[in-house]
Amino acid sequence: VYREAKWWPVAVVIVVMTFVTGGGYVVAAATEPVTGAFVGGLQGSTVVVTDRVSYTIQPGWRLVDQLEEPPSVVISNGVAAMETIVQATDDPEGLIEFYLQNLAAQATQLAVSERAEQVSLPSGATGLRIAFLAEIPDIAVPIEGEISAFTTGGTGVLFSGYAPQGDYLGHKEGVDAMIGSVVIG
Amino acid sequence: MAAPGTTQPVRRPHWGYRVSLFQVGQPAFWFFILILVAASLFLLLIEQAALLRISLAGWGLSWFLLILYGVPVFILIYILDLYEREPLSLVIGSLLWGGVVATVLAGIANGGWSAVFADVAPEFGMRWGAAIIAPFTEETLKGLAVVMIYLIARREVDDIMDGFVYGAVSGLGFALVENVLYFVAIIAPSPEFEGNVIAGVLEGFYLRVVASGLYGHILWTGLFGIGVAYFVSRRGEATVGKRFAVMAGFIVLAVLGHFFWNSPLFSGLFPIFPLEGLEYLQLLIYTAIKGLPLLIFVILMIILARRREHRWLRAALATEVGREGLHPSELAILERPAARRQSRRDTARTAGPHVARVVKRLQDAQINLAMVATRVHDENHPDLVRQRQYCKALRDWIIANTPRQPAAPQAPYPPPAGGYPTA
Repeated sequence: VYREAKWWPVAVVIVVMTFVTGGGYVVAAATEPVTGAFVGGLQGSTVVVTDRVSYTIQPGWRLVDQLEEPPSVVISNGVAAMETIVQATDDPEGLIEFYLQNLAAQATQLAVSERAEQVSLPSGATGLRIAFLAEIPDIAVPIEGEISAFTTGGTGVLFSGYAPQGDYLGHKEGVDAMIGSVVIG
Repeated sequence: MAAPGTTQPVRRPHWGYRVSLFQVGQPAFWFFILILVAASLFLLLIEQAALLRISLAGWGLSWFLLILYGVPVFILIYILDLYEREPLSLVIGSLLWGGVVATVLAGIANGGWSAVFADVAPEFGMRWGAAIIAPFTEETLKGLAVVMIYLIARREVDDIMDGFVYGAVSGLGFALVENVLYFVAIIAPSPEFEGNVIAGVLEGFYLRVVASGLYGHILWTGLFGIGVAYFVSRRGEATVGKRFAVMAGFIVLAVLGHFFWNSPLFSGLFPIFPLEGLEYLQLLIYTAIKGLPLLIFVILMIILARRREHRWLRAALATEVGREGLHPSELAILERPAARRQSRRDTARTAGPHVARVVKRLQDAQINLAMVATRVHDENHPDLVRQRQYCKALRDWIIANTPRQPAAPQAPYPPPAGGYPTA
């Protein structure tokens, strides 16, 4: 004899409706690139690249450019500049490779250090660093600098600090201080 | 399995049972009310209020045009069921589910699943997202109308035609509300119309109703409803596996129909707005390519479902034919709507329209006789006896009020076998 169920069919309907209506938001949260949402702004002394990546800006530096895709900002103190790019990756080497490809596309000359140096952040995150020298038509003088990439929890952050050739060492301390202040996660 | 030379007996339908939407003992009813009220508040206070702010005239014209289209379509769907029209409260409940609950929830759902595409495959999502997301979310949410109606009033979903009616009406409700949104918020404000909201609404009406009104949500959700109705009404006639497979098949067909409609396939044929000259015809061709095959399929399904209803009518009245309520010749007329209309026209011509109206009442009473016969299980049940006597009384009145035709001259004896000898 067939008995009519009253409650569980309604429960099934509610489950189906909930999945169809809200499931997308749950899946989207899980599939959202770990870069976080782009913010690209200066909040007090904090440069917020995405809602997962920020660092403290040094006195005398200011925000000069920002880009949503990939999330990135450029700051400058008038002589030196530092680009910060955020990508969803666990591979610092790949992140540096990505940046160098873009740099090479703009540069007429590009030289990079033979070996990457292992670096770490105060938070414990480890990464790689290389030095470079480039001639870029848009910039009147050759530039030199360092590219540092860190990854943690699927989020990759690349810093590229540079200045006219011969000037970078004078700004390296400030650049490293800003890199050291980065918060990822 | 039926013995050779016999056929499987036709199941008696549940036509005699009439159940309204208001089943306070069913949890499904209270869930239906709860979500309908919540969705109505959202729809009225947020969505429709926003459309009103965009353009009062465009909003008003949109609803006016859509009601002109919606009312006849609603009636057409409602009368598809030849003998057992569904209780109006349930049909309106399904319409409200499609128009209010499904539209509100689909709007939310589409946003969430679109975000998944934006994260995972943004370029693919731009091109195919609407074709993949909307069929999945909208067909499910609209189709749940049929499930809810079944859970509220189970005996009312006793054949695939019932499922089609509830599903199609849910699809109609969805299409009406969604079209207002498209007309006022998407089509009319587009730069091609240069601020002329009325022109935008009219072109939107041509695109989404005149050129597409036969093909869209009504068909897809009707198919979904057929699937659900097959599953719940063929218990005892088919295995669970077969019922589930058939239901899944219809639901997949509904989703694929919607997918094909939304997909960018054949988009080269889609004219650019505002339409001019032959582009109106081009749009009709484009929508026919995308929607006509499914429309033909649904028409075939409806024809098959109607044949099954004929068989049911015969089964329900099998024990009544020859009794005072129904003569054998009347059954033949009763089975075919065209024959019923023809008999009324003939009566109107020979006896006047007032008698034709009573013929209509007799035919309705005889269909009700089938309803009563399916509800009671005793041939001498007082309800059945009363209905037979009512039919007889109507027939007697018709005979008494129909002028006698002069009798045709007849041969005094029947002709001999083989006919009369010839010279």
